[in-house]
Amino acid sequence: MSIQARTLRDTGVGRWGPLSVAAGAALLAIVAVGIAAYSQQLIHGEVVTGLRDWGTQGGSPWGLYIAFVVYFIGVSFAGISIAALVRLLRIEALQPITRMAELLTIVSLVLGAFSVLADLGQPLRGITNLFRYARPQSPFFGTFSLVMAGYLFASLVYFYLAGRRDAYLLAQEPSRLQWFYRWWAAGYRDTPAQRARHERTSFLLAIAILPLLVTAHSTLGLVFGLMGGRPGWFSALQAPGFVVLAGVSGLGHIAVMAALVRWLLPSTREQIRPATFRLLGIFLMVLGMIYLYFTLIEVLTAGYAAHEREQELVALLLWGTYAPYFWAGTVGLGAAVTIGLVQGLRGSWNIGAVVAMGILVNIAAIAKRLIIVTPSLTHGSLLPYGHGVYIPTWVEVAIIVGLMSLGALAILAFSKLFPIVPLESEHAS
Amino acid sequence: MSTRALLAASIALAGFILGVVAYFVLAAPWGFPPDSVAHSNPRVPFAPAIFVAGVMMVFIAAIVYELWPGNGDHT
Amino acid sequence: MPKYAMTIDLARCMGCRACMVACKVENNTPEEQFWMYVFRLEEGEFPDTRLTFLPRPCQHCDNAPCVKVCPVGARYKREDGIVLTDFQRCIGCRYCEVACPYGVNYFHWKSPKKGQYLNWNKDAEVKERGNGETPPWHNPDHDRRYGEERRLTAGAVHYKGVMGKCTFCVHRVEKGLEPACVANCPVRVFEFGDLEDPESTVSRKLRESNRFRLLEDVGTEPRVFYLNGQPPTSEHRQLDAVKGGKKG
Ligand code: SF4
Ligand code: SF4
Repeated sequence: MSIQARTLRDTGVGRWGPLSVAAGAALLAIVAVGIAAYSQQLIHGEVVTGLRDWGTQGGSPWGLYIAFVVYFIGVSFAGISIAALVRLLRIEALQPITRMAELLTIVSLVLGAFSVLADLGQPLRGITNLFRYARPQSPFFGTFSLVMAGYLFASLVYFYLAGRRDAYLLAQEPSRLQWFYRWWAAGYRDTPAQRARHERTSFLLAIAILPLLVTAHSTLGLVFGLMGGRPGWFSALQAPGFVVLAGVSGLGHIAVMAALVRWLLPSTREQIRPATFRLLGIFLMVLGMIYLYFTLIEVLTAGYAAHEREQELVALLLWGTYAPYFWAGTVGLGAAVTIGLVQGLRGSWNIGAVVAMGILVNIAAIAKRLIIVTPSLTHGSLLPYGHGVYIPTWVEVAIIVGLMSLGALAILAFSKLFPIVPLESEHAS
Repeated sequence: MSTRALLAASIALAGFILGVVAYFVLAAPWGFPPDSVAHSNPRVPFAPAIFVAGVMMVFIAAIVYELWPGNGDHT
Repeated sequence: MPKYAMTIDLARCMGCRACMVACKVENNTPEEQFWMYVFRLEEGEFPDTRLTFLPRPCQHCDNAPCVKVCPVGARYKREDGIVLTDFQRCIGCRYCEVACPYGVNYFHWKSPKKGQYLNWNKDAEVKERGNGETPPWHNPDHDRRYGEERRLTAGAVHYKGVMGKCTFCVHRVEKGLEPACVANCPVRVFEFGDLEDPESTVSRKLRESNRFRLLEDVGTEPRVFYLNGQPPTSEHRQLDAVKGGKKG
């Protein structure tokens, strides 16, 4: 495919069709509701949420917000690792979705940061005091500095450098955004020397991001794992479980995004091929299986050996208050794995089915993230306090849904600025 | 080594060192149990910001490496 | 430097909860917050039941998980052993609350002024109770800074969106007074004093009585010692659990 074959017009850049406008307006409206909800929280305090102190107040001090911090960061993890792996291993079929994956990483990291702010009682102080006083001893230090600053910044750099080539190509054509593409290209002319240099940096960056990922996710796991006095959180499988579930949810997102782009932009159909979805489907299936296995092990070990509080918590998950979440998660994952298996056995992968898998695993991941956070807080007391309840209020739900819409809006807007699928596969020539 | 590579490598190295120093020497001291007030304050004000700046520098090096003008930009 | 500790003589406690009230009056804690709390526990099957009482302040742990996890050093331990929250630095992440196994932390979900038992916005009502005057809605001592580090730590009246918990009444201790719960208990269940001083009442009581600390196996090393009683087990039920704080 030559450069000219796909001009600005068929990348969707700069074109706001009726569908995009309608989608954008709808998303904007949801974001507005989220902002209204957040202003309620700012004015009245977090009394407007369903959160309360554990112990005598019988609530849960952490809930939806923290669950989604974990979820968003998990999604971002998958995005950047796919991008890095594709570049390192040169998986041709996944090449067209690297930019989407990188974009997803950046957007969901920002959303993760916003969810942290939504959770804080003093959000402004949160921003200033973390830079001023953050202590390395607290697992939050790693989460805040590595995830939010290092990891986000690294992804931005990676994204910027990887996009220079397309920016250069776009800057060739006259358009209203020409200045922007020139700025982005920053002197890039696709000469062999520049290409070689980019190869080198993206290789090094991919390698540098991987240890960042590991530290970031271990510290995130430590936020929960360090708690000796919290039954249900203290588990050796916590960290690998975090990583696998992160992979599952991110991959699911990418599958859905890729299908949407393919459907909306016919010109990308040559690039995002069924083979792409086959690979995504296989990855989703395998990771889903691994996670199901972890769930089984966790339930079994906690059910047999452990402290009686741990046993109570497991009972709670299997048939108690939290059973709907647990079974939504497990059945969702199971269904996704089954769809994958059926397609694998038939030897043909259907795009719609892979999208269904992507949606199912994300429902599962959200349910799972919730039951990582709350049950231990409402039912895990070691002193004879009564059990607690946690039911999120509309404010929390509106803020989270608003954040998700904000993310979708950002991706939509970006796709109007810049081709969401790389113009030409990088290693084609 | 070209100027470009040298520059990028030194920025990355400086960033890394800054990060390590900020984490272990400038930020609040480690200590278990944390039984002293000293563990709650960074030894140098804004040490965490310095740490973050260090981490960022490592990645800025990649931009410098690619964007530094000269050699092979025009063919 | 003294090493403060508290002893709680369970054989004396009759569950009257005067300490809870004293704490509320002294620290102006809003509704639904109990920096001092007394468990009224029941064990056994009817008719063979037994009642026990267990006061629960913050344990001022030597190896405090809340201090370890605080991301900004707002929760800290003073040299004399009192664990405090710097209200001006706290960002309201509630990590300390999640890390503490004793459930002693109370977050200000709304403005502490709004949570008071009397509505200070209704001046007439307040005047009526205050014999024609509007008393300050909180103890002015809470606005002072204490300790060498001069941080804002006393009382529960500072901001919404920050964490609060028992301070061992640092503002009283610095004046040489006992914490409010200690001073107000009608049967002298509590003693507060210096462990370094072998002649102090706490040191003497600790030598003379059998003792335990709550959740000893979690490794938090509390500075609160329970005397002449048994730690609660999973057989203990709370008699009159405070109802969940769901109302606004
Ligand atoms: S009882 Fe809880 S809040 Fe008090 S010092 Fe121990 S861990 Fe911290
Ligand atoms: S709520 Fe405040 S005191 Fe508690 S851990 Fe967070 S910043 Fe520290």
